[in-house]
Amino acid sequence: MGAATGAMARAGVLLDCAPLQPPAAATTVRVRDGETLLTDGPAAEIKEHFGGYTLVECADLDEALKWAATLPAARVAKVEVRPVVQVVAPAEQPAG
Amino acid sequence: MFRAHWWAAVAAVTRQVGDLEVAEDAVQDACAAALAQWPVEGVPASPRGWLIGTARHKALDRLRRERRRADKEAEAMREEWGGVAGSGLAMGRGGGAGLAGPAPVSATGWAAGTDDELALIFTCCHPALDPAAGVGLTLRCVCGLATAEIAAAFLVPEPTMAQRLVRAKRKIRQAGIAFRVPAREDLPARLSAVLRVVYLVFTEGHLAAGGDTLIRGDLCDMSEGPAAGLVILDTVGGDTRLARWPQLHIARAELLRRLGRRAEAVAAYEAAIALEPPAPERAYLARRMHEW
Repeated sequence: MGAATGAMARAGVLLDCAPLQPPAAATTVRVRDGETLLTDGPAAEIKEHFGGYTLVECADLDEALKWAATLPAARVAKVEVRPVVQVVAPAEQPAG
Repeated sequence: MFRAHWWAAVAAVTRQVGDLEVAEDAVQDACAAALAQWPVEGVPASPRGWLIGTARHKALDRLRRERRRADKEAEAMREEWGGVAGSGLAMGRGGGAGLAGPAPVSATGWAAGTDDELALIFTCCHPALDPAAGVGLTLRCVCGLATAEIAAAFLVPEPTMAQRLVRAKRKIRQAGIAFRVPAREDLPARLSAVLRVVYLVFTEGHLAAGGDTLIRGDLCDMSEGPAAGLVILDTVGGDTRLARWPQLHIARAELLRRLGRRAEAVAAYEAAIALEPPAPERAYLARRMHEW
């Protein structure tokens, strides 16, 4: 765990984080008409690639932006900040 | 008559219902209702209170309707996702919540709810928004300009501007931009974003006037630009916590200068100098003060 994620963990905002293997290791999966199609390489055909993720629990965007700025990736690459959409799991729903 | 209450009403309702878009639409509806009702029943004792109360009612009504619809959609989604939903999904309390409920009181921030109008302008001028969109949003939510007027100022078709405003409001909700005055340590950075927008509001006013002179000289009204900027600055600067930033007074001074209000401009320059900005800036201000 790096210094930035360590600080996130101590602050109690870190839920999960991990770097990813390089895009060359990616396999893209599509299912069309019931058939599974595999393609070597990443899904997005752009120069930038998704290098890893850091999942933090914050009250608002400002708090998340501050944490994002502490990540080393923000200095050498870029960090995109986007909230997770809350999807309520069926088990959490009241019966009926 | 409504424009005087617009800012306060949009701000109060946004805090109460937690959604800028819903609040703004509701205030618009409340104004329409007032236009129909007041001439018949008379103007209420507190027009602002009436507008806020009516708008709040309409906003909560709409949110209830939308929640019912969202429940139905969620149900459909659950059926589609079957048993796997939730298992691989991370959940964050900030996720998708946007301006969820009343803003919390953070350890470093100020008590929420006491500064709705300031919170509204800091939200509209958030650095995470495209600055041009921030200007449009400020003209709409703070100054109460109609979308058509803002579109004219930016020299774009009305649907284009409407789309831009919708996108900005959606970003506020989806990105989780908080409805509150920023914490003290964040103020310098956030205040400069506000000043940038105020400056653009002012230049857009000029540009629009300039555009109009080219096309329709009869509509040219140069005073709209600096005057609109001044209204915002005076509200922001009226707050003692913000009044100690020299930049605020410098911006005021420049706007007052454009309006030809010399004595007030000089007083604003003096206020800025009294706050002891860096020496070169101070020297410039002392010089500028006497340039007429």
